[in-house]
Amino acid sequence: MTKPNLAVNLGGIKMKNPVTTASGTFGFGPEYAPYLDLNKLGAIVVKGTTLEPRLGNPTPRIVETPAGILNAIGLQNPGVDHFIAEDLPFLKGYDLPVIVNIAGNSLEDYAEISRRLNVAKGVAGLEVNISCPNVKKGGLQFGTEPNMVYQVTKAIKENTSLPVIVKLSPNVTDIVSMAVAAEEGGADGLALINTLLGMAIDINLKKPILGNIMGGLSGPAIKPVAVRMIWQVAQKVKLPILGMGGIMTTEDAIEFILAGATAVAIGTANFTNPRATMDIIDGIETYLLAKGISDISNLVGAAWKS
Amino acid sequence: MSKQFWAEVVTNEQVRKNFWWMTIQNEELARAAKPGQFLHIKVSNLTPLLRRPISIHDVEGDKVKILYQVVGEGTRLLTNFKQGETIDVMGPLGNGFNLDGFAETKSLPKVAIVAGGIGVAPLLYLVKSLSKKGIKVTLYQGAGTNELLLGQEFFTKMNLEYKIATDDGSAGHKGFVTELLARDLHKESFTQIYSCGPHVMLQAVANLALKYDVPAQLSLEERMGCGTGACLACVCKIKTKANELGEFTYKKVCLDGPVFAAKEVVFDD
Repeated sequence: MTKPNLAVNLGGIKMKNPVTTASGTFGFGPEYAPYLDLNKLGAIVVKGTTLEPRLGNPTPRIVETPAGILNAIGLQNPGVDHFIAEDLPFLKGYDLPVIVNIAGNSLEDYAEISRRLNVAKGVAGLEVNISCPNVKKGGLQFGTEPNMVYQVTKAIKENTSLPVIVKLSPNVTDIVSMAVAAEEGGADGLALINTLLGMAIDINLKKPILGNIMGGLSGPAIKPVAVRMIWQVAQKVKLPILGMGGIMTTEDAIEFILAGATAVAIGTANFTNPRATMDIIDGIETYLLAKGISDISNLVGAAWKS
Repeated sequence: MSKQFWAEVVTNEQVRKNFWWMTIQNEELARAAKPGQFLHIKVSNLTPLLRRPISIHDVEGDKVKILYQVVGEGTRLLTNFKQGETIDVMGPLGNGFNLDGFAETKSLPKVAIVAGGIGVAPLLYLVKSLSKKGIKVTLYQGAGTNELLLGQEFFTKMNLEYKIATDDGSAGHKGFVTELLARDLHKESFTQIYSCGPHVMLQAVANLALKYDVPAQLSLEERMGCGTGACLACVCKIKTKANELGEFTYKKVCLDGPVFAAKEVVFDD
């Protein structure tokens, strides 16, 4: 059998294979360059970027939990202008679509940041963070109201011609209604899931461990929730899905694709194994060869498609 | 050059209650290691999920040695590694101590090294490296008791001035190691101070360094995630260049550190 086709199209973003990095776990590129060949990635999703620089939360910002971690980084980032001028150039030397994760406090923020990235050279798409549990929004939680999801998506689409992938929060009662709202707002794709809201308490100090008190749970512990949500959303909306949430191995990645994901993002796994993305890319190819499957897209949603 | 290595465990033995030495073998890793750098070590596949950051204690030939304290599940799992087994390490990570910049002086440069508790771990390699450059070292070591003065048996045999302090008075000065440093700063002129240990001790060292106008390098620690500089979990507060009161930024202990200039570190208390 000839080499199976691994290339996928994520809402207009052409990826040479279905593996990318989860925002916030992979920095901007240089951090993992000593460990792997960035050119081999299907795409890179960089750290969440905001209009203005953000300091982030007080420490501790991370704590281990069974089969997972809680993080409360607080979106520390140098701001979109600094990103465009200083961080983006590094990636231009690589054969790698750059997807920029964006976050904002208001519709105007999202619109403005989209405008600036729309004219930045070397950006392949936007991943819209409407759900970071670590950002105080003064009451506004964009990701928990279908109407807000619709408004944010629409506002961004009006200000950019780049593919817009909306990253959904799992901290909702009905993930499908959020997905439908994003689709109606004009999204080109969906990313799910972001982290689950959680916390931990130090029993000796008798206080919450995280400086921000609450944080986002990620890692293997959340995988079943992610698979379930992708399974539900994929059957109700037509948009391509970027699946993530506890993928550690090739087998995990295949599970997500079978549930309905067109591509997968690897996040927490990078902390345990800096070459996790590489291992999974190779593993998917080996799997397809072993099963005699000629094209990765044959597997997308195969668990529910007849 | 990749920074991920599979090394062979040569020895892994208990030194004191809750303190262990492990020696691992990997030539490339040993060649690259500088004093003050650390290894990010994989201890399990699932729980605990994260690697453990452990300072490089010593380097000899193609072998790297770590001195670690068992404080929780991760470090407890480290004790299970047996001779001949393979261990997955990222490293050497971090900026390490700065051993340059000793201006030509009439007399040989003299440095002070201040170690507190398990903070002595990265300082053995530092002591050896400085001595190799012909720099005179005064080592101040403090711990709870005589038993906890780790490495005492090496330091007493080395060509350096060695001053110890214990909380309970079981050896040396009864009290804090920084009290010994404070006394000496009256009469000594050190070119540089290096320190690693509990946060309160580092703060005391920083205050003394400021008071006597001696440059000091502190090795900090913070709960760590990726170890590559990507996740921004392990940050510490560093004064911004403008140096206005209250103005700080967050720097990464794994990449910008773990060693920082004392006068740049913001101590909250």
